[in-house]
Amino acid sequence: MVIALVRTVILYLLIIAGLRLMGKRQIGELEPSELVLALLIADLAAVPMQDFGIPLLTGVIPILTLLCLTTILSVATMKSRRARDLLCGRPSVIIRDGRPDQREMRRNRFTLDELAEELRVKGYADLSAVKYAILETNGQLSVLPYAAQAPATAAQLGVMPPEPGLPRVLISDGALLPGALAGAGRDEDWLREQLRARGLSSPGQVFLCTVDETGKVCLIPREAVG
Amino acid sequence: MRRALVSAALLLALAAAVLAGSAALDRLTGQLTAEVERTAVLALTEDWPAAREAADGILRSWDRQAFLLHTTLRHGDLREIELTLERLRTYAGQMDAGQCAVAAAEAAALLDQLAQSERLTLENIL
Repeated sequence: MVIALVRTVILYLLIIAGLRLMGKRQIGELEPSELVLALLIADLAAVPMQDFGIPLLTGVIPILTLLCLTTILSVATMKSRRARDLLCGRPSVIIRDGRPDQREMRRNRFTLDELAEELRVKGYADLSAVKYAILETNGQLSVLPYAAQAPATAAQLGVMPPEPGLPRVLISDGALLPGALAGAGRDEDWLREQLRARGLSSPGQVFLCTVDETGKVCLIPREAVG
Repeated sequence: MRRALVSAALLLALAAAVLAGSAALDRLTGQLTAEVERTAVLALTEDWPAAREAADGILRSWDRQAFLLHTTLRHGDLREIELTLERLRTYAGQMDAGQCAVAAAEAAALLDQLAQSERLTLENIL
């Protein structure tokens, strides 16, 4: 059993390293090559994890090989348009000027039911409201409505709301994040002042404290654990 | 780009390592097969002290490579060969020429099969 434990730890760390190499995409947004990699790695790792009669290397070598190939291919797709088209495919325009392109739908094996479902998910019940719908290479459908059907933006309404800026976390669950204060251009005196203004004395009493670029502070005290 | 180069280098290193491993296994099984056949000949000529010594030598060589073999090959296959080599030693100790010949033939076949299974051939790939 100790072998199972050690092998599981090694393979788990290897898979985590592999998935980190794949970046921050969610499973639903994987490119075809990334999906194949994820499925293969899971399967390759499971075999030596359960069968102690085969060497660990029979799982590790194929996983390393796949990771190397994926890295090489991802750089190739980044550098070459042709490689990108070959490995990731091209986006397909499924709806053009409110009309479904039946040839593209057939080519992508995309049914009308699926199209209707995807449009409903995006908030469009009526096909005629959609100018373009594009099936992206990761399988997601991007919907571009007619200008008259699109929600009005602040600029179109002539309203100029203030930019909120990016909130920066200063205190997370009672812990003052090192470097965050300096990164936000503040110091501990400023933080103490903010805490005192809200009746708090130390960062340990704060669940979350953020400050954005405009200086707006959000401070949520920790609740007492009963 | 650096990441791709590192990956390509790692891939080449892996390919080189597995090819070197396959060549090393070929050499080891070749040497062991020759020793096994020599043991069988010594047993047939009833030179039992030399046969016993040869069988012991084969097991010592096998044990020296045990770690490398177990990290790269199926443990079941290795165990089967090890048991056959031990049988060969036992029969050499019992001075049984017939059984020695059978065990030697079996061990040679298993060693050949082991080397074959790791060779880079179209047959194995397909």
